[in-house]
Amino acid sequence: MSANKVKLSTSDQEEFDVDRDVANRSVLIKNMLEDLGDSDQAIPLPNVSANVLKKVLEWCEHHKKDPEPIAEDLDDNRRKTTEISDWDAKFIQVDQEMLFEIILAANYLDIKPLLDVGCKTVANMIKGKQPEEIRKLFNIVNDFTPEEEAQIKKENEWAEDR
Amino acid sequence: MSTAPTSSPLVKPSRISQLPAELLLMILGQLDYFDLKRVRRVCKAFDTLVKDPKFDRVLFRQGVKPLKPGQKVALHPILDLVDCMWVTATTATLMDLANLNVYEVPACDEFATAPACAALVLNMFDTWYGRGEQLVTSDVGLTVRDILHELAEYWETGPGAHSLVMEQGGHAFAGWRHPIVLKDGTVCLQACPFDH
Repeated sequence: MSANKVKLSTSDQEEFDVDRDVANRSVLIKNMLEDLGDSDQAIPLPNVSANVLKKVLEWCEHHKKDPEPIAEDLDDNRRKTTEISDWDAKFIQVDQEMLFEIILAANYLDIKPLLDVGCKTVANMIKGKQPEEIRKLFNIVNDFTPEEEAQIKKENEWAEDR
Repeated sequence: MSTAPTSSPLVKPSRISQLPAELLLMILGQLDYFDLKRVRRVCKAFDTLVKDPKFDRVLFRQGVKPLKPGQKVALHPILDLVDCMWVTATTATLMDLANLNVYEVPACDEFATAPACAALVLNMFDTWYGRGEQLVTSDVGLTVRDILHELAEYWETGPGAHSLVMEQGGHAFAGWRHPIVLKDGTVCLQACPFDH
């Protein structure tokens, strides 16, 4: 295998031949490649299925030339103001099932900017919505008793439509 | 009596609830005060997540920290909504919710600023009247309630009681300026008058 290609193997036993600089977007894969040295062995990704990896690699391909992310920025305020780029916004227009799969895969593969895009997208789905709308959107069961719900609602009434 | 599970097979499991807490916290980390208050009410698991210290700052639960001059502190959103002209020691209403007494909502005991401050100068329309600065202090951090009490004092017995605004029954309050940390670490909260 050529030196700038790597082989990835998914949970459902599919193999992907990927450019090294694309695969390197994943810190997990990057570290594994460094540990392995020059090897033809496929890198096993037991937590990622082929359809999800395909999607994740599409993101990595587009972002392969991005500069290395700056060391962990702990200032939450700064992170909040960073918008999702147009390309990323379009990329992440997928069904909920795939959206959460991408988030899980980005977390497992250690692709922070992709994880960020996923989390922001879910957060945007929550913003401005009432609790009942959020439950409906994500299939969440309301497990508060009517009394608990009435109490917590009363306490937060003033904040309702802000 | 049967103890068979009651959940219907037709109900799709909630994917978001299956995410590890660490990832849910990252998602909720993008939300503001009001969104987090609503998220609390979705289900018990979310209510528990919102208790995480990660959200202390945005929910005005973060205690007193030494403040640097010029540092940005956030003002509790309820203070922007309070009808500041008519605050008394027992009642404070919101500009758009006249029947709600702010003293009775739990938010009243949240910190007035994020992070909390131990000393705050309340600066009421001093550019108009050349008076109206009041210092409020609390070692454990000033709450919304502390600020409201100080406001009540200002209008009832303090300089505000003699102000033209009150004598003419006018409505001069147009919100607060962004709180500023002064040289000595005290926070300055300045009222913004109308027509200014």
